[in-house]
Amino acid sequence: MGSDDPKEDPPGSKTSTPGKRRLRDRLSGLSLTDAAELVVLSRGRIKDSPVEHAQAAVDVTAALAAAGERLSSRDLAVMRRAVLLVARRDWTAAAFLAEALADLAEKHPDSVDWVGEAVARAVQADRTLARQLARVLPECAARIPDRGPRLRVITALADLCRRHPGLGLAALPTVGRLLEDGTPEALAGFLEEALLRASRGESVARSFLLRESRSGQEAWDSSRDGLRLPLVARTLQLYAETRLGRSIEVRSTTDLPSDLALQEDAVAVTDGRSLYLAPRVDRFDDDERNFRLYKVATAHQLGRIEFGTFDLDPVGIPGIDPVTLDGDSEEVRINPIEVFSARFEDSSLARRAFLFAEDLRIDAYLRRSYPGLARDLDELSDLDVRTRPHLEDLAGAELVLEILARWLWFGEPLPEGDAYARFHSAAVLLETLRHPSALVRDSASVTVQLYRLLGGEGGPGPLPAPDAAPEQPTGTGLVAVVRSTGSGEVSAGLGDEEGEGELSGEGEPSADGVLVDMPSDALEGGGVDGDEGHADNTKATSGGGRLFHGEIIHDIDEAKQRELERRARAIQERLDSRGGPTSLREILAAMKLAPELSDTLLERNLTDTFREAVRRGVPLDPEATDREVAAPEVRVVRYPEWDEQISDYRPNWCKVWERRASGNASVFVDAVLEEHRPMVRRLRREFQMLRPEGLGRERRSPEGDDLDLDALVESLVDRRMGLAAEGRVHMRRNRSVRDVAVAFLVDLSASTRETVGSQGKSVIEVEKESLVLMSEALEALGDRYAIFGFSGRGRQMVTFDVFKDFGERLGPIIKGRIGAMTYRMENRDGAAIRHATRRLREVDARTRLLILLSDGKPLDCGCDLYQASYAQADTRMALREARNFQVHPFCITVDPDGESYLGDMYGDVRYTVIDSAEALPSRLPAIYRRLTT
Amino acid sequence: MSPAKKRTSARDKMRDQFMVADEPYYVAVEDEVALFEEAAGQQFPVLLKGPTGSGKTRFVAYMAWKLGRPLVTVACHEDLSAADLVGRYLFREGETQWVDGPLSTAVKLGGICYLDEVVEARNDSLVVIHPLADDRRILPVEKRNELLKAPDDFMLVVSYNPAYQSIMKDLKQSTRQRFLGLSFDYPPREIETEVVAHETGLDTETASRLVRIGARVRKLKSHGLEEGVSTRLLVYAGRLMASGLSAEVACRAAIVEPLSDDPDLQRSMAEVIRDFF
Repeated sequence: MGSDDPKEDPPGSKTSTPGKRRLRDRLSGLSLTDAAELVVLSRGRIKDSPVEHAQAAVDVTAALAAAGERLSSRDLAVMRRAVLLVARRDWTAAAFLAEALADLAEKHPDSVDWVGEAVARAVQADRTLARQLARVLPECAARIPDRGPRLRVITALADLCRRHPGLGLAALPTVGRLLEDGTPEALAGFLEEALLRASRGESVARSFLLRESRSGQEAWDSSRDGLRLPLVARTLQLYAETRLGRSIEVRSTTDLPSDLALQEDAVAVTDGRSLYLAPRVDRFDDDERNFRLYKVATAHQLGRIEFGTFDLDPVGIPGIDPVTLDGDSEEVRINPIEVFSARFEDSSLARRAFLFAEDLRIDAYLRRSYPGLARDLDELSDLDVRTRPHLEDLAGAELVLEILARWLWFGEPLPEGDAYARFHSAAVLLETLRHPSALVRDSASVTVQLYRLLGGEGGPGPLPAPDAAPEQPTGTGLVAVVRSTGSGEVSAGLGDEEGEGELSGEGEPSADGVLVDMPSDALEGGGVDGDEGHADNTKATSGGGRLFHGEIIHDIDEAKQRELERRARAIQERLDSRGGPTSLREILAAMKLAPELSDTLLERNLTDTFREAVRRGVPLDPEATDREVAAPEVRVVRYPEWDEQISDYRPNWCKVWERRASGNASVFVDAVLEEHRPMVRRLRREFQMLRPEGLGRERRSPEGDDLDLDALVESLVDRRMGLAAEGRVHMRRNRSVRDVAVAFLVDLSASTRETVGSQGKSVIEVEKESLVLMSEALEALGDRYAIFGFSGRGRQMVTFDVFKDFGERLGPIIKGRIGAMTYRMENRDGAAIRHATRRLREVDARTRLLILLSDGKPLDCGCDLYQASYAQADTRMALREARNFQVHPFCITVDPDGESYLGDMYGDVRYTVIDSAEALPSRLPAIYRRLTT
Repeated sequence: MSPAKKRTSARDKMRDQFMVADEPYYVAVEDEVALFEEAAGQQFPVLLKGPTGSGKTRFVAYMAWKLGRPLVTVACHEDLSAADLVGRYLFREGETQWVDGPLSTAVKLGGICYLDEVVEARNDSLVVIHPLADDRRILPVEKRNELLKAPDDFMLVVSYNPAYQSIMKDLKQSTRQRFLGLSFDYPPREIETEVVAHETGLDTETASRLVRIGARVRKLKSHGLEEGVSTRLLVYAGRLMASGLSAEVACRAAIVEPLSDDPDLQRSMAEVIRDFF
């Protein structure tokens, strides 16, 4: 090896740098052969940027070594060849490829060469692109099971990247999502279409690819089967809120943690608070019927909420000994259904039985309350019948439930023979839940009996200790009756156990192994051309449910939140011990933003953020920095704060630091104006029309308060001379004087960096966009306006940034400041509102308007606590003060969950909630118009 | 015929013109009828507030009929000037003629002057009603140098919709505080059902479905719907249905389309309607 041995002397290095040391550490982990091969391969390249390339080379070797453990030697060779092909041109791309390729090499070794070649070719076009492609392409290819479409996708992407590198770069990040969203064929077709368009012009193709143009959106939508959730989510959400009369979040089931083990084809899932819907419904050929299914599934879940499933009192079920629950125990907070089923030995069986019974009750309620919905339910029954699971695929409780379900829903016969009476009495018992007076407690008590029939051991007892392992259920009751033999016969063993006598009432079973005659067509997968429907659509292996029934889950958010808080507290403790300044809220926000980061990384990020704040010159200890910051441009004003507890003001409590905002990012503003050009034009025109036509009197008017003497004399003279007089002899005063000053007060707290909506923009970006458009409209209108932003930390340091003052003209400097607007720290709304009110009062105008743009609750976890009801009470008070000063406040909140507390906080001040943030840029000018005309 | 009698008969003719001939259909929700009668008796002006189509105008018509007083209605707008209300000189056929405005007419007839959507008028125009709306009960007519004294039967009623969010359209406290206030809202379900059934001729079951649709659509108010569906629109929908149109078509025309242009909102309303029919 000599001096080339990387262990001794990494190639190309001259001095000992940290990078070099790191490299040495990593190289030392390799076998001698690998290291040798690596050095040989990288010779020549390593001269340019030795450390980077050598490190990439190390990564390649390491990835290949790791892949070697998973792959057969043949597949490994294929993969190696592809990686080395790329490595000849770019080591970093090769490193990415090596990492991403193992999965593909394992699943579809025949495609590896194609991928390698595609990446290698892309390197010639653009190195960055090739690296991106190396990451994305293998992953996508691995997800496409069929060879044909896989090669089509690979080829299309490769061509795109080679011929139009810019397009490729834009398209690659979206490919994964497209694949999730549609079929591989659809993706291939879409990419090929984009390639065709690219020959006509890259910008056309770009907006097509990113589905920013209508043709792109439509091409994509029509290329795939089924109805996608994003197209109907808002409709369904509004529908849900209309039904419930409160806000409810609609999310995709893909947002649920994967470990929930839901039924794969559940269309809707609820935890009683949010509604989770399948990302796509493609049961039908036409989207109208797919939408029906979405809607009926939604309606059913809403029925659960509306008709009291979640009101189940897990303690006082008739026929069960009441137990006492500790009010604070986790179970009570999670979900009453879980608490209820936890009282059975086999809790999952109990849960299953409960939902089966409860769904009967809910459907009956829905049918009674919504006659139109009943029609929809009937229409879907056809599909439901076709896609029932085969009876022979089922066993045990699932089989029993399926038989009962078929009788209850579709009137299919119950098994004949000795078991008939027992099935029948169970079915009759369940049938009682369809009675209008049935409540969730009735479902619960039916569950107790159904549970025993399904073979559940033991009745409900007191709550088991959390760690008590559930016992295996033993086959008793109806489950023992049906035992599928798989040959069209069902043999039934009639168990004799206590507890089911109350149901069957007669005919005590005599012996095991009695044959039950099942109707044969029922066994063959359920009637109407069962095979077809079965093969295409049915993945269900559980019986008894209906396709729109969906699932109930724990309150995911609640559980997640608790877990987050626990971790956040741990992080905070560690930061505190190191003297870090971070608040729990900041930690939580950071965790939500970057869920993939480990706790240690989060700690590091938070410390960096803190340092960044220091570097930017945000004073952290305000008392000490008064002098330091009090530059001529800065104005410091003290304000009182309202304390709800003592029902009094705390005088001079907050210090507001007003300063001129800095920054020069007018590019952002120009981009926004460019993006919304048609809207800007429309806004300018509309607002121009609101502009009053000037003051004074309108003479020679056909009507008015006074006579216009000159006109009158002329008119009389005309008349005397025999000319026709027009009769325009009145004078009217034009009083449409517009004298409005408006201040926009923008919440710049850290939470505004959270992204909202489908375009991945953050709240602050959306707010900025809105302000840019608003400014254009206001320039056309001529109203005086100012743009302020506030944030800060603690009561001594509420920062108040002036992006545009009333007197300033909207020019490049102001645009630069607005463009550079960004999130900062906390939001102490009260003080900022008070200062904005003062600023407005300094303006001489007849109407003064204060528009507060925020993303929700006021919160400042600086040195003292400004949160919850204290903060809301102070905000309310500050708004009330503003009104007393004849300043009209109006609050716009971008927060779909805001409704509950906003009414309380804004009191009698007018406000509006924007539920889809993307709408803000167009809504803001409309709101302003409505407010001031 | 003596001149006095002649004048009286001209006044009677005028009066007849403003009388409410047939009993308007109105179902009292609370004690608003008794309250209004008391206000009329004690000569208090009344302020009605409530969303559009919740029965304010119908109520005033009903009360005018019940009290047997003429009703002069003014639909307020931003260009409404004091002269529009009080009256003005017009130049006709070579000479100026005085023409009474609706307010003067109502004062002279001893009737109810109803200013509908009063916030639409400018505050400075509204100041002319101040002397009429307190215990002075006079209307100074500056241009004629006259002082009209309102008879005991004269009553001032104004209405507005508090849901309008324009800060420009707020009644001044000095105006507001001259009135008794009566709040209107969409009637409770049973009464609204009764109203819809009566006005449309539909059976109670169908009317109740329309009312339940109304109740649900009103919940959309905080989601971009500026205002909930009015009882008036429910009645329109019902009438269309009574004339044989399908529920879907009728509700689309009378509920979905008038309320919103937003396709998502429209669709969710359509789905709510579908649930019931």
